[in-house]
Amino acid sequence: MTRSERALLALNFSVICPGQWSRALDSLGETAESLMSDRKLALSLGLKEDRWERMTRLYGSEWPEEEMERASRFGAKVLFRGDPLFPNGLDYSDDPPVVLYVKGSWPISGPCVSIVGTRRCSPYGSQVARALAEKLASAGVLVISGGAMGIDGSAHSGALEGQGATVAVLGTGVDVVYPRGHEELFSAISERGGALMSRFPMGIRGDRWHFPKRNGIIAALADHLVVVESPVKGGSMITARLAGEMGRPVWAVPGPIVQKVSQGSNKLLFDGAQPLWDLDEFVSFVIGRDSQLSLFPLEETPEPSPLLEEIAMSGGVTADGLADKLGMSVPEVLAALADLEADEKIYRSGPGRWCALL
Amino acid sequence: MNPVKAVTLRGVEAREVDVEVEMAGGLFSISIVGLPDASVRESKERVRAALRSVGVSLKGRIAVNLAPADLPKEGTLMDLPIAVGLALRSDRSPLSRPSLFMGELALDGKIRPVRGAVPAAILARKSGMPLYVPEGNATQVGLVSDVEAYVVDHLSSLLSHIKSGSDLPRVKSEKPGSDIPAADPDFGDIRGQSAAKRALEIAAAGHHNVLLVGAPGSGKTMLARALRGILPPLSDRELLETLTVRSTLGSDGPLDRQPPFRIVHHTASTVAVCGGGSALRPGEISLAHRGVLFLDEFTEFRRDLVEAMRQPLEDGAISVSRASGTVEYPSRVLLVLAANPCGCGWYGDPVEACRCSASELERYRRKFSGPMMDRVDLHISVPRLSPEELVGLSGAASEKSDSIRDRVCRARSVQRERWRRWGYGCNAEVPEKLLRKEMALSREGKAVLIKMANRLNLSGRGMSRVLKVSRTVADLAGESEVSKTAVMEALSYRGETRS
Repeated sequence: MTRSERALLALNFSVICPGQWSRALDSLGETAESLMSDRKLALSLGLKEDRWERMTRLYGSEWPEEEMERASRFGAKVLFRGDPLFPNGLDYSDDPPVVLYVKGSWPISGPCVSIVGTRRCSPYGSQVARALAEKLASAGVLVISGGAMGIDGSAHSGALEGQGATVAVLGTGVDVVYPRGHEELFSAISERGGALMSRFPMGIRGDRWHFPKRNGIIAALADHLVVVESPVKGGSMITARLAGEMGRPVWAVPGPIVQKVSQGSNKLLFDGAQPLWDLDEFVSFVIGRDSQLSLFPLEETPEPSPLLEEIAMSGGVTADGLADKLGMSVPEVLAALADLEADEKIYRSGPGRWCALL
Repeated sequence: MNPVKAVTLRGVEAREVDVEVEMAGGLFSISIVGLPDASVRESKERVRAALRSVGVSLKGRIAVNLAPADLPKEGTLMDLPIAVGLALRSDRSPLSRPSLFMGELALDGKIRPVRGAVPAAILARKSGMPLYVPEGNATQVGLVSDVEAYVVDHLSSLLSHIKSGSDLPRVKSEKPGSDIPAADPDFGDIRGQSAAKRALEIAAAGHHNVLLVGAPGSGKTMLARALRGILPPLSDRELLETLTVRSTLGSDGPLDRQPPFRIVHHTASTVAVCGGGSALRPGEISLAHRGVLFLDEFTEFRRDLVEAMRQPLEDGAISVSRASGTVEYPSRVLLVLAANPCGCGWYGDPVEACRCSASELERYRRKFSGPMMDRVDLHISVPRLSPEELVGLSGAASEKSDSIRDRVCRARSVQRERWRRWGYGCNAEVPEKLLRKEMALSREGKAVLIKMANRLNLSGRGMSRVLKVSRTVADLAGESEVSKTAVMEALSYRGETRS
C-alpha cells in the first residue's frame, strides 16, 4: 500500500466530507499525504484539531492495513481517487468520494441509468421500477440504484430478471446488509455481473447523513436519472437536485396527483424534468436508437385485446367491472386476466384490482 | 349380572356402563364408586329425592358400582340408570332384558334432557338394547334409524312400564327433509364481487380451502358467511356425524341439513379450538365438522394455535390424549381464512393510502406462508368497491344462493361418482397422484398448464392446487374433460402477487 493510499483511507474514515478537503488540497497543489505531517496546513484549511489528530493517529497505525485486509476478506476491491478504475463522473459532485469499496464486477461498460424513488412505494411504482429496469438491463444498460426497500429493491430485481448488470450504492459499509431482508438480493447483485458499492469504510452502519452522500454517487454515476415515485420531501428529491446540478438529464414518472407518493415526482415534472411516459421509447433513447424523442403520433402497434385495452384505459379495474363493460362472463375474464398477468402485460394494483403495464 | 345399563361418553363415542347396586343393613348412606366425576357423585341427592317422590324410600347402606370401574364416568346422564337400579333392587323386581337408560332427574322425578343422546342411540343400535331417553332428546335419537327407543318424561311412568308393562311412547324415527333455511346473507343480496362469488362457488363445489384478502370493509366476512348458503346439504351420514359432535356438548340446535358454520376468533384458546381440556370437550374445529371453519383476521392468529390446528386439518380428525386414554373427534372442515392485504389494511387501495413502511409490509407478507397457507387452494382478492363502482354496476340482479347451490350440488355428485371407487367425496380430498391419473386434462389444458408453469415459476404444490381447482371448474361447467379455459381460470386464483 502506498503512503497516499494510507492517507486517503485515514482521511475517509476521520472526516465527514473528505471530498471537500481533497479538493482544497488539489487547488493548493498538495496531497492528502502532506496533510498528515503538516498540522499548520490542516488548521489553515479549517480542519478541527481533534479530527486532525485522529486522522494522523490512524495514518501512523496499523489501521490502514487492517482495513484493506477486512475488505479483501469480504471480497471487495478498494478503489482510490486517481486510480484508473475510479469512476470519473464522480468529480462533478460537491463532495466526491476519495475511496470506494466495490464488491462484484467493476468497471461495467455501457450507458448507465439510475432509478430512484421512495421506500414506501405503491404497487404502481414498484411495477414501473421493475419493468423499466428489466427493459433497460436486457437492452444492455447498467442500472444503478440504492439498496433500500421499495423502488430501489424493485429496480434491482427487475434488472436481474432482465439478465443485466445492476449496481447498488449503499449508505452503509459494503459488507453491511441493510435492510436485513435484502441479503439474497445483494448477493445476487454481486454474483450476477453487478456490484455493491459504498464510500463508507467496512462495517459502518447506516446513519441519517449517509444517505444524501450515497445519493450524490447515484446521481453522479448516471447518464440519466429517473425518479419513479417520490413524495415532496425525500431522498429521491435530493438525488434529483444533485443530478440536475451535475448536468445529468432528470426524468420523472408521472403518477396520480392525489397520491402522496407521487407528488414529488409530479412536481419535478412541473419544475422541468423530462416526463418518462413510455418505457420502450425511453429505453431506445438511452441506448441511442432514437436520437430524439418523437413529437409525432406513435406508429400503429398491433391491435391489443379489448380486455387489455379496457384495463389500460381505466386502470385499477375489478374483474367485475371488466365483465360488466365487455359483456363477458366472470370466469372468462378471470381466465384472460391470468394469461395477461403471466405475459406481464398487467399487474395487481391492489386486492382484486388490475392495471396495465405499457 | 345386573341388566340396568348406563352410558358414558369417550370423545364422540358412547360406552356401555353396568349399574350394580348393593344394599346392606345399617345407618343410611349411599356411595357411588367406579370413577364417577363430581356431577355423578352429586346424583345421589337427586336420585334419593326423585325416588322418594315416587314412593320408593331408600334404607340402609347402599353401594352403587359403575362398571367397568376403570372407565371415567361423567355427566348427569347417570341419574336415571342409578335410580332405576335402586328402585328395582329395593323391591327386588327383575328387569326383563338388558336396557340402556339415560337422563337427568329433577327432585320431583321429572326427567331432563342430557348430553350425548346421539352417540347413545348409535350404541343402542349396535347392541340391540332398548334405550330410554328424556323427552328433550327424542328428536335427536329419532335421527338414528333402527333403534328401539322410548320417551320417558317422569320416573314414575318408567317404573310402572318396567313393573307392569304399561305403554311408553316410542321415539319416532324421523329425518329432516331436504329443505334448509334460507341463506343469510344471500349471494343475490351482495352487490358486485362476482369474481369473489365465483371463487366461493368453486370452493363449495370442490371443498377447497380459501383465503380472502381485501381491505377493511370490502365484504370479506359477509362473503364468508354467504358461503354457507351454497354448500351442499348434509347427507344422512354427515348429518349424523355433525349431530354426534353437537350432542356431546348438549347443544341442541335446529335439526336441519345445513352444514355448520363456526367463527374462531384469534384470541381463542387452543383447547377451545382443538378440543380437550380437563373435561374433554370437542373444540370449534370439530363443531365445524362437515361445514365451514372461518378464521377472520387470520394474520393475527398466534403461531402455536395455528400449529395446533395443522394436524386435525390434515387428518380430518383430532386425537386428544389423556392419562386415561385417547379420544378422537372428527374435524373435516372447509377452511376459510380472511386477512387484510397489509398491516394497516389499505395496501393497493385506490383511495386510501397505505401507511405501512416497506419492512412492515415485508413482515406482514411473511405471514402468508406456513402450515395453514399450504392447505389453501384458492386465493381470493376482494376489492373494496367505491360508491361510484357500486352504482355503476349494471342493474342485473346477482344470482341467488339457492340456484348457485344447485350447480354446486350437481358438481359434487359428479365428483362423488368419479372418486367413489377410491372412497373420496370431492376433488380437494383426492391425493395428487390419483388426481393426475384420473382428472382427464385435455391436450390444450395440459399444454397451457406447462407453458404457464414455466412462465410463472409454479412450484409442485402450486401445480397440484391448480390441477385440483381446474378439475372443479370443469365439474361446475359439466365438462368431462378439463379444458384450457378451466386451467386458465384456476391459475387466476393463484394469488401469489409480485411487488
